[in-house]
Amino acid sequence: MTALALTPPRLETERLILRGPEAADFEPLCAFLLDKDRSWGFGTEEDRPKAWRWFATNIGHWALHGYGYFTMEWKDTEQPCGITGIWNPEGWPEAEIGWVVFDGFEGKGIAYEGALRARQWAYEELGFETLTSNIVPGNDRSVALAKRMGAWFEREYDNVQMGAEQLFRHPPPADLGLSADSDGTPEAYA
Amino acid sequence: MTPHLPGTPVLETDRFTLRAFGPQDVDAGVAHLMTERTKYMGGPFSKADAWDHCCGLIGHWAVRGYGLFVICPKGTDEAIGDVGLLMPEGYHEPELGWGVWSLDYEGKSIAYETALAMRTHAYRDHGWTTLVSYVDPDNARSIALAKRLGCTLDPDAKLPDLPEWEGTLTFRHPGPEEAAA
Repeated sequence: MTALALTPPRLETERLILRGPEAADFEPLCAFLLDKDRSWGFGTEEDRPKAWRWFATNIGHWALHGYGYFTMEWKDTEQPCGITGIWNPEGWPEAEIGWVVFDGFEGKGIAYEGALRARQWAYEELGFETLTSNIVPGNDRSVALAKRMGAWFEREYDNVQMGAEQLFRHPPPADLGLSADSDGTPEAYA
Repeated sequence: MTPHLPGTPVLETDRFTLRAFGPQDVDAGVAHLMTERTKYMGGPFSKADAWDHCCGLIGHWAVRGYGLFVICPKGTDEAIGDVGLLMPEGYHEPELGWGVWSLDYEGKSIAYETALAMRTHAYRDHGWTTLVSYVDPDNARSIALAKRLGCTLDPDAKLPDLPEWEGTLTFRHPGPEEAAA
């Protein structure tokens, strides 16, 4: 892909690499987005063109905000195994952490491992002081993961794209023993 | 200097500078997409959908290495329209597309001048040998412009695999030699 001004960092966890989107990520992402059973809580797309549009939108989201969805790569096989990141398009109440795991990679704790790393990055490198996760009612697996990350239910609201959603609030960085790096917010010096 | 996305070309015509649609154009792009002027391309869009669309235009550049440019009067960085090369998923070949964002700028041959430059760019710099422009049958202005650009209807062209595109007209541009003649 063209370089543009996109410089998503490359983050690492025990089993995962979190990196910026690459052209080859489209097919596994598309398979997920078209699979209603798997993607209903995230936003199922009707067809390949719409899935591609989402893929391209995420890249533009990175260019505009300096953050977006990372591709999670399973270290052992270097395969894309899901996406996680910080999402804040037009109409969102505030920035949220999101996660999805692709077919064949469930039950390994990938979403938890990746989302924790993305949250740490957002608090330490981007200087966020709070973060949310918006979850469609009935998406019990995501609710369980949000709670495992220490988040709590705050309110229900109407999302501009998804309709009724439950907003979960993540613990602030201080409660997690995190703070912005010295190149982050002034509070880092306090 | 024209601020533009690294790795993307900047083109000059007599009156305009063309540079890649970038993050700095999103506010103006969203405002345009929310107007009736986009009715022939599926609009007007909600603010949220318009924003997603604009981000997608930036992503298009990253994925394809070409994409939509904004049209800025020379000496300014104010986008007054768009012109570019589009190949989103579902298309079978790249399209030369155009749009002027305000009634104030119609009737000044802006789309003509910049579309010609874009076609030259596609043939010269990308080495392409053909181009199409998709036009809504009710969009008389764009039909007139396609004809002025020397395009002819191509009833055999395969339309993009997109819902609700039946009836869209495919105009085929003259090839590089014909266009240069």
